[in-house]
Amino acid sequence: MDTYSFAGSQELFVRAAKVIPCGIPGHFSPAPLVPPTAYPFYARSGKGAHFTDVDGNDFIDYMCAYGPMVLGYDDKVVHDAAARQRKLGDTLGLPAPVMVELAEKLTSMIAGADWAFFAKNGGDQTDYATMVARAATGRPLIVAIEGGYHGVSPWMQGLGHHGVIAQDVAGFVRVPWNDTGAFERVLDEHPGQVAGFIATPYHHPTFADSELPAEGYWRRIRELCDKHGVVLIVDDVRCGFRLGLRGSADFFGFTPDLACYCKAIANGYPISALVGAEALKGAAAQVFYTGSYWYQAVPMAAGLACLAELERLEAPARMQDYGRALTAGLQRLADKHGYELRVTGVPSMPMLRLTDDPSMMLHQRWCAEATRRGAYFTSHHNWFMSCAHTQDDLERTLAIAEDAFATLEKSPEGQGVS
Amino acid sequence: MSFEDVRARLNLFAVLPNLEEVVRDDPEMQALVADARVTVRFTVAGGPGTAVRFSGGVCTVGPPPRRDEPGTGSAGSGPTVRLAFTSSSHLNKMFDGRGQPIPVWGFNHLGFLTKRFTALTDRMAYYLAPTEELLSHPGYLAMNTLLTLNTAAFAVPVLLGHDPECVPLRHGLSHGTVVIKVLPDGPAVSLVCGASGVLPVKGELTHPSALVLLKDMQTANDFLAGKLDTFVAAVTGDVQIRGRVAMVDTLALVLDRVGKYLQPQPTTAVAG
Repeated sequence: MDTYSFAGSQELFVRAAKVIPCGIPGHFSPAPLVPPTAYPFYARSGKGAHFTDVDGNDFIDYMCAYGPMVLGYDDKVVHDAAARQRKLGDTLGLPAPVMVELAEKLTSMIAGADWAFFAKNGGDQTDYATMVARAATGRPLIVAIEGGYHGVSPWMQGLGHHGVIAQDVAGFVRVPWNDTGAFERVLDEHPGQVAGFIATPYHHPTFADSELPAEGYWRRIRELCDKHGVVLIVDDVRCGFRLGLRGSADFFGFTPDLACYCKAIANGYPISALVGAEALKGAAAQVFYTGSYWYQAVPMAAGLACLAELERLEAPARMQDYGRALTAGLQRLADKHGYELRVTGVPSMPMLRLTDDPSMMLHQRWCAEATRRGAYFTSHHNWFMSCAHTQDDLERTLAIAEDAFATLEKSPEGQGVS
Repeated sequence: MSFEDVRARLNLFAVLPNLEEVVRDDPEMQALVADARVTVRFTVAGGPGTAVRFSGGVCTVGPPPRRDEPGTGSAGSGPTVRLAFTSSSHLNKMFDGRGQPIPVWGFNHLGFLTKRFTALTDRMAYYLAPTEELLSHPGYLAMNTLLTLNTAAFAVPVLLGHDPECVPLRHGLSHGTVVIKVLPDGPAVSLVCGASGVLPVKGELTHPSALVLLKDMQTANDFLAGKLDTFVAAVTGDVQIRGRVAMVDTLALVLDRVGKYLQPQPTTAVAG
């Protein structure tokens, strides 16, 4: 099987590094791609579940732009809706009616959502949610999960990271995932001081296996929040609409007070939403929070169209089915070649790891070899399924994965533990 | 812990151990201490301490000797030379070449202290204070790279233990060994991360959890001196990071703090 080269990406990155900090900052940085020389850095175009890089290489995309691509790149239904709104106006002097329509749509879809507030990124909403919780309770502390990710604000990054000072993190306490006892201890140690508890529906850290909620975990967290008057915030930015259309909390059988959405709302158009319970609408209204482009009407129209498509396609089930078929196929191939491929998380957002090498170097080589053959696999982050992945994509991916496994076997480094 | 206290620990536990390589790799310095059998003990009032031992032409830097450790002092009852510092600042001034220690024990070895030991620490300071001209010499480049690499590695446990901004990072550091190595056959350090903290080891341990591979000595030197665009270097493969990348990310945050304490490079002038 032929492998790709990435001269164009490399050249562009060197240019970028001269004028952009890091070349490519943030989560699109090549830094966690191992080795970076096996990966493309710049995409020229996308269609369906594929993107083409600047060197003309075609990839079946299993990162889906880290989540926003849910229906497929260049989706006609969403684009047409966006185009219609663009013709009417985008950033206007007043909000467009579509903002109300989108709020009505989200509150009708998501369990426990009585209102919606729009911004641009997931981090806008996790920050806002903590402010709403503090405004509602008059308390200072927010409890979050160790290793949990809720954006890039200083409180989220933690002390020791560049640009973060002790005061930034003073109002936050971290507890381990799936440990209700630890949360109880925080409540006991800080009586009347905890405003909110924020977590993702299940634990999906980078560089590590995903962990589903233990039996009864969310029920107990809900009980503790109710007992102590703590606002329960679910960060559904990454999982939202890939587990269930009523929200991932509903998927796991509980109702939060606030829930943050972003990635899958509008298939790549920039918009995020905080939805919440009626009881918190007043506090949400009291918190002054806004941004120059938060009233952009085009992403709202795209969101309305995308959500309707997700409903029509029964998207979560479709993505779960594809993810199950993909991961089962990959596990069969791994087994055939003498490796163990561990799959954690949910099938629509699986985290994969070859357990034969605890250092992950073997897994990184396999992902890199697959990427060089056209299946965009990363080793540090959960993958994303979309509604655009097809049976042909599945078969092609498995063929690529098999070739990548065979390549590992031919290399002394691939014989197991490095 | 105060800035000066952290800096004193870095000077004692990250900078001073480089004497081992200076004696090992610099023939002139090896000859200078070839017949020395002496221990120089550093103590800071109410603070840390360490000891530099010379025996059989080898220098070792480590925990202070026990009082009953044989062969380390008169009548085998303690260090041969003890240098006392009234405070961390006092010690740091000495490492900056601006202060004098107080010899409180082993006056009969003051000659070693003022002549040979001073020459040795001056040579270490020379290797740790590069200029572009000096770095153009391959031998100097290699020595400066080696000592800087060691200093960085041995700074990690100090900072994770005592720097207020690094202490919170300790909790998120996975267990395992991170190896930083200069290719093709240059020096290496290993950082063994475990429940009790990070243990730096000179050299390359097997079965690393993560690898940081630096293409050659020049790349390594530029990398350690902060002169390399690490993002470009990672993308071009000049700096290769493999394995548990999150461990490297965390350690990088710690290493980024070294310069806060140790720049400009220390100019050691013990008893000089």
